[in-house]
Amino acid sequence: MAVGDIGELALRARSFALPGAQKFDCRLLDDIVGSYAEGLIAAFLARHEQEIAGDSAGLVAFLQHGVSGGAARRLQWQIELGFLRDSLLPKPRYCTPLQSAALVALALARLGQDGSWECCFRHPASLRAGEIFIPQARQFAVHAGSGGVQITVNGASGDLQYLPEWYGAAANSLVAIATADADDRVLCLLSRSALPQNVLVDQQFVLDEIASEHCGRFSAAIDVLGTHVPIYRDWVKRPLRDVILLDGSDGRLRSGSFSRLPGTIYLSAVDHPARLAEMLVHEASHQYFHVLSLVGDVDDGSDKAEHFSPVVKEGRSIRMILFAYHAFANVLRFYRLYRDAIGPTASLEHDCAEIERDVRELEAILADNRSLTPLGWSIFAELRSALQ
Amino acid sequence: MAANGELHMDKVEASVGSESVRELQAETEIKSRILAKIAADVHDKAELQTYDRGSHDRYTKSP
Repeated sequence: MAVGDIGELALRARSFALPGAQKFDCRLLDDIVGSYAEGLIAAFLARHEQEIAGDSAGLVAFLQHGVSGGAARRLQWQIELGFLRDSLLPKPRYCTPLQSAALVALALARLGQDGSWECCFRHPASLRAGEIFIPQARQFAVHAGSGGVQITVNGASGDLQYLPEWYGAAANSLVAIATADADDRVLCLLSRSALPQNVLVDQQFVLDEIASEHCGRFSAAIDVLGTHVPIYRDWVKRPLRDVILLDGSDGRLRSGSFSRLPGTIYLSAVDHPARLAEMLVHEASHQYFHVLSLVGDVDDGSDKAEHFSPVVKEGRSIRMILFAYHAFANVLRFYRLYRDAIGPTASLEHDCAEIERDVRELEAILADNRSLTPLGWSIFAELRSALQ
Repeated sequence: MAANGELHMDKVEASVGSESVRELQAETEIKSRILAKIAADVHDKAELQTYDRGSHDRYTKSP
């Protein structure tokens, strides 16, 4: 039986439900994300090839080679895939097809795909390659080869790796993205100036700039995971790429993710490492749910009812009840493990009790629901077992 | 485990086949499912509205 069969998928998806109980199935993640990237590029070119070719040279061929040459399969769960997906919708929200194409081509170049391409935007557009953010310009040319990735922006050329220095010195207009080094992976912390356009975030809360204190808080949250709850550290970092930081001075935890923007989340930059870690656990859970949703449904659609969700205080479909349970059950487990590691405190006891109350309400809805597929039930059962 | 849970997990366990067959078919099956998902999603405007944000908003002050 193949992994596409819902039964096999349900078994393998257990490591996406929570960390620790099963060895994480990296191959399943890579297969899903790699196939998603290939499929998106192919669908994108089928829709936009002529339009892209009209404003570029070599870009279509570079993307085609990304699929045929295998580099696309190495793309990770990253925002560029979301831009491709968005470009397939009747009314794209985030960027133009040419910008989507250039962003993905830059990502492929950084993965080591050789080739050259150039493009000319009708209006200035910004590009990005990982942690390097290129301010708005109209003309871009890229050459990727054994010497690395060379980029020319509006006639000024240099090595992409050193672009911040030469571009910033030339124009003083580089918008740097502060990063928090999370060991082998870099998580980019985005402020308002680096925010992808039209991303649905409460704009009034987005930080205008990332200060060193924000990087410190973020690193401290990663340290909490690594030091006290190590089974969650890699599980949390694996599906996350970009974190849009919100002001957390009002004491609320706000966080969210986007089903069509892989690896991208937002959260309040609160001065409390464990609560920052809580939000990372919560949003990483949603990322895994979105990945699995690409290859299987968690319910069969037979339950049309809206179930009252204690966490949003309104009716939700059974799919979204499981979506919430997945995240909050992981948060509860994280806090229990953290409490075991550092010892009980009044604050931790309060947090655990508050979250467990909601988790048990969600659990009661799911336990008696016959619309869950084997995939949905597998996620639920794995979590419920871990919380007993 | 609830009665329906046992039913679900029975289906899961029964559907697992040999390792070699899984290896051969896994990539094709995943790709097929994802291509169908991409094609369907183009017309699924409701999904954008309903699931584009999974938000989390919790008051943090302990008593």
